[in-house]
Amino acid sequence: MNYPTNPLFNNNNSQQDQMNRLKGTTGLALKFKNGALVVADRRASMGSFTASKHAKKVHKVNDYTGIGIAGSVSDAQALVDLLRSELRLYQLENNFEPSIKVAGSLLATIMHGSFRRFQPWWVQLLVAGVDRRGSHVYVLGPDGSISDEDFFAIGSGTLLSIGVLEHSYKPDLDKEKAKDLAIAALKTSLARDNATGNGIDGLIFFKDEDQVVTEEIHIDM
Amino acid sequence: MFAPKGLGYDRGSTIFSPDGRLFQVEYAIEAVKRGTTAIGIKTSEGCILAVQKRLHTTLIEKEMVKKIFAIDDHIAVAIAGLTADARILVNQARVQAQIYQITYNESITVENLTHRIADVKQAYTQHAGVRPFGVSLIIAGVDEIKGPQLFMTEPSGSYWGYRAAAIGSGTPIIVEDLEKSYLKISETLQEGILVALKALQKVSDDKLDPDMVEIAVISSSDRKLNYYNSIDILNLIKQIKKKEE
Repeated sequence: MNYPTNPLFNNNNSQQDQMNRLKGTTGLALKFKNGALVVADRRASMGSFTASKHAKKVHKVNDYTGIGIAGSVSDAQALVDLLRSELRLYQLENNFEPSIKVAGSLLATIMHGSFRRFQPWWVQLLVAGVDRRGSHVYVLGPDGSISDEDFFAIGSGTLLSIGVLEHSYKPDLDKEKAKDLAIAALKTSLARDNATGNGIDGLIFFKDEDQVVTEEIHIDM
Repeated sequence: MFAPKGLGYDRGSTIFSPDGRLFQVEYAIEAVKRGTTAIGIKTSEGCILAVQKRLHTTLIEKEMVKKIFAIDDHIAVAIAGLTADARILVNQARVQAQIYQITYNESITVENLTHRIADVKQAYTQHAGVRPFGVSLIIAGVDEIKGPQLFMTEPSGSYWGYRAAAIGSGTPIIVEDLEKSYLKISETLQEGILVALKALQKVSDDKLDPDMVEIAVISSSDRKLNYYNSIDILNLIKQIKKKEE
């Protein structure tokens, strides 16, 4: 039985043990006609314990790029801060804005380098946003893998949410339909996954007359 | 015995002369004095940086010649002296600003950043096998708590806070002017910009060309750096002309 172990004070740091700690979250991202969105729940769990009811899992790194996180909270926070600074430096050094592909590739490079040195960033990430090349969603794993997707989910509710997306997703959804689908897919995990819950946060990026506009999603439960 | 006074003490940059001078540092300061003029002015509404550009040949793309660099959203530097040396310090300053941001989750203060740049410059007056940076920086920004801040660093690594500062070849004339007029200009950004432009006009050989001037402003209201384009600058030059008439 593994119920009473508190991961904070647990000496058993086996990979299996870390995997158990990792998975409490559902985050998902999808592309739509003129934009992309990323949403996630608000529960942070340590085993069966809900460590936070208002964890921030969707982060804005610049005016048009959002990150969804799952896994080790400390690793994810440090990585998002690092990415935000690296993108700022990229902009200052090149005098143009970093694309979503640049943000994703940089993260993959950082994560793969650490993985190769046996100190992986213990996270799954979604990178979603809109740039001059259009809307993008990238998914990254702790091994530094990166893939370009139309829609994807991360965390413990992955299978539940992706089932809903797989059934109803169409590439030419408008913003409201995309938002509704994302929330419906996330709510499936909220209902059926123990480690997902306590509400929804999200970011929607869409193009409005050549300007990228951001809209926030906040749903209390 | 018959050698001129101080001979040999300018070979290594980190060797004192008998009367306590570091010749290489003094030569670096000399390089700054020969550089293009840069002005920084602090007002209660924010900070202004204004610089003069110099072209070796008219074939150079004017907009590629840059003397004001953004360090973060709320800080910029203007340079005089060796541009290549300045670029190295600018790169390091940008990284330092981000290191501070990540470590403390707040934006770096202008003085803290100045201190970090000055530390690098100082190290290059003390270590063996290196030469000092031949560049002075005017560092301007708006702090979250202290508001508008203006600093100037020398090749030696010393720095001071200023209400208005000038570096480069036009310094003696401009400083004399600013000392007389500062109390009158300290209030608004608009006034400060005009004073800066007038000062540049005074030290340039011929008429002020909007493409040969760079102006950037960091306003207290949004703590954001904004560059003026050549049309803005042309309008300001016209404004000055009107006032003079």
